[in-house]
Amino acid sequence: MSQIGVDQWVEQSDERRDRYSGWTAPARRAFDKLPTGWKLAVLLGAVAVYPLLVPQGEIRIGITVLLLAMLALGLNVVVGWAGLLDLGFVAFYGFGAYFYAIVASDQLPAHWPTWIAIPIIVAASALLGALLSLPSRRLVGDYLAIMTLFFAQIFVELVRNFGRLPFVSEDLDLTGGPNGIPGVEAWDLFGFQINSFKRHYYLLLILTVVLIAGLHNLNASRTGRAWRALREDTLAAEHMTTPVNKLKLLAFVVGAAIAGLAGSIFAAVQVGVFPNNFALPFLITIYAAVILGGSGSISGVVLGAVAIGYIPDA
Amino acid sequence: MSDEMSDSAALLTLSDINTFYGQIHILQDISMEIRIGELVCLLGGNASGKSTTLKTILGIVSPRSGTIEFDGADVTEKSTSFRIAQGMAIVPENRRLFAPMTVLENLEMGAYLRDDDHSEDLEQVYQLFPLLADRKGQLAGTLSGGEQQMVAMGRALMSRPKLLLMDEPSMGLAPILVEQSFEIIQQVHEAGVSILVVEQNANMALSIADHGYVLATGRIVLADTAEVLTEHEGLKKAYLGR
Amino acid sequence: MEFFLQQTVNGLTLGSVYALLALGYSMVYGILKLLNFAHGEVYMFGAFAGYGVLTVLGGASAPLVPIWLMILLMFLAAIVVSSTIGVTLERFAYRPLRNSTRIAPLISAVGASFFLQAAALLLFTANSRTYDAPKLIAIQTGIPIGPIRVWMVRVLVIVTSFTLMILLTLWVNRTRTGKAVRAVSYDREAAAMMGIDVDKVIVVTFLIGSALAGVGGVMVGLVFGRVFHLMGFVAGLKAFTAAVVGGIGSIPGAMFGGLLIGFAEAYTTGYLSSTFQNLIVFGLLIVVLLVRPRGLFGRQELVKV
Repeated sequence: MSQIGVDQWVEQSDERRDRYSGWTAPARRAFDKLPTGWKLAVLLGAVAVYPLLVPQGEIRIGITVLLLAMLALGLNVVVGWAGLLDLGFVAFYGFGAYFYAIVASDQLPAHWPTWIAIPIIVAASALLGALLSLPSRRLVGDYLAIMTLFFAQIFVELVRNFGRLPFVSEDLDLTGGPNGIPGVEAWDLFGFQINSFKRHYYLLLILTVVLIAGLHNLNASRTGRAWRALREDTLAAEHMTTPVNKLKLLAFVVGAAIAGLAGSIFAAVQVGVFPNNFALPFLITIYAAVILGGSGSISGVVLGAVAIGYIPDA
Repeated sequence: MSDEMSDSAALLTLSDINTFYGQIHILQDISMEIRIGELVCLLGGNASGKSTTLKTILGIVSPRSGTIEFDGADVTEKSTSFRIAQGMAIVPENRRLFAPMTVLENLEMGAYLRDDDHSEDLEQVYQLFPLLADRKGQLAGTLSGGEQQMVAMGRALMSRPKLLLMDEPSMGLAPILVEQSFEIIQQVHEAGVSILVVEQNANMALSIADHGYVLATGRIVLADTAEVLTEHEGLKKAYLGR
Repeated sequence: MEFFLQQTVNGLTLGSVYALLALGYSMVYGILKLLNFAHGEVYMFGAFAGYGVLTVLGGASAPLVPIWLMILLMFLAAIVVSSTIGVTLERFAYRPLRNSTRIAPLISAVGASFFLQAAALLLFTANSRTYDAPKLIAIQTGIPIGPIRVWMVRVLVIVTSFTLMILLTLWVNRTRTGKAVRAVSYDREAAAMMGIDVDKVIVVTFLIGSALAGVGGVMVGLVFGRVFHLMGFVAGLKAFTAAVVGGIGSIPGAMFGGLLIGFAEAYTTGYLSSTFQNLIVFGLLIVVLLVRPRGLFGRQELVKV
């Protein structure tokens, strides 16, 4: 009789829950058992020596993986944490890439110094993210997905067909249409040229590590908790006076900024940008990384990116 | 009253049912029985497993172990449609009417599995709830709570069920409508339909039931006649508010 | 005026094809809450099925059977092929994922779309084929409406589409299975509680939606001539736009949305430039969603608190 009135459900809820989801769950559970210091040392050591052990061409895969990891981390903020189904994410990546290609090539011609170009690109991407978040105030669930999907389609449509600004100048083709922009310059950090696979790899590695640390802190912060509340039950969150719209905006902004940054590196790595780089199939690749790794978890999506990034080249 | 009932054969028997949602163990060793002509109530608080028990009976979720016998046949492995064709019907929690469809269409959905002419049953439902005859062309979503309850009951009766399952009939209704609703349940019961009422409102349910079961966190913790349960001290404290 | 009328007929033709395609998107979404991205490829295979029949029976220049029979057989072949693909997709790409996260079936749908595109590339190569419809239905024959003459092909497309849409509306409102489709799309679990075999209803939905897409594929082949393995992508996207603009899940919405998109595209092409047509159509979607977040005919979903 003692059971009546006692909510054993709540009491046992921890035992009933499996903390990890996705394909990498067993590996992550095993990894959890290592002490923290060891974990980081093992991982960082392995990825830092990787380019020294493999041939030049192989580093290219590492670059692909790291780019994908950055993108997966960015998408994870929007989808995994805030629960906003953003199918336009790849457009921010394209935006960053095209922006960098335009200001660092013979296209305009403009040759902005990298240390000026990159902050501007990241800020502009964030602004675009803020803009896209505005409709998300009214749209929920699948409708947000649809709207953002079309945002991505319009982006590709624009760079492919409307590079020539009809009212500005007939001669200037801003995006190069279907041919894209060739001859994008390498990053130049105060005289230090990021112009080899190895240097790109280490640049990406540093950025990814910084990003992971930053996101880790963000996730543990009040904002991170509020995002999770938003994801689990927007209505309840709103009724508990969580600033829902501000949080949605912030998620879009953070995701877009990360994607824009990744895009600007991609443009330099590829030495060019083309409309098809940013079409639907690549969006699916990023989503695959996030889902395979286990949406919502930083280590999960990075692992997912590693798994997905290796497949196309293997 | 329970003595004369015990003579009749079992209509529904659950034996040692264990149901899981993914890794989560919801129902633990549930055994219960409803005899032909009985009105049984299943009591329990939130998350006690009441709705899961109903879904298991209907076959919407399947148990990991245990057997369900209905009308003399083992239906554990059978589909929901099969069970409904055999004579189960449900009035779901919150009624779950098809709001964008008319009252008549809702009633027709209740008779979905019947190929024969069901105009007679429609007449019976209209007799039981004369209001519905006037409202048959109206969209179900535009009805009041009490009227919706009538449609939900009528819809379930359209299949001419042997066993009527009622999931929280008092939920979301004004007190006067709750009483009305239970009067209708009793009326249907008197017409010869066996009924399982799942309720949080123990007072109301026990007042019309023959037998009762009490669920707590997925286990049956009490099972007895309605009279005995009404007087049970622990139950009074936990549910009856006396 | 003449030009305007001509564009209106173009819009009506295009619009009725989009409407047929949009119905498939909308019905599937209504019932599964799934954006079936592979629907455009189902339509593409329908167009190729029609082409196959046409070729086997002597082609447009030397048909072995009467024209009316030829066209009928082309439609039938498209219906069979498209609905088979649609039902197969449901069984193998979507059903296993029905109880997983929202995003998983979406990814599966995009994957299925690419798979079907690749399959078509292998089967039919990257070359586009032509129905050579003007030889099949003499280009001069037509019905004069005011100052213009409407080609028979267009009349055929418009009449067939509207007939199919009327039949679908009747089916959904009058028949037992049609009502079950509506019941399942409103509340799947409650429908199951009524004894409705939800799996069967879903299969029927895919069957009908895909068959309509197949018919649309043959129509496009007849009107525009060209069929190719990538034709499903843009058409699918447009039809999807139509479904969303109309209010996804709503059958009259899909029809209306299809026609709206058809007109928008025809007038843009006629009065502006065909470069703008995609931009205008996608822009239209965003504007409609901003003003009416659930589309023009969409209904408010229940929010369970």
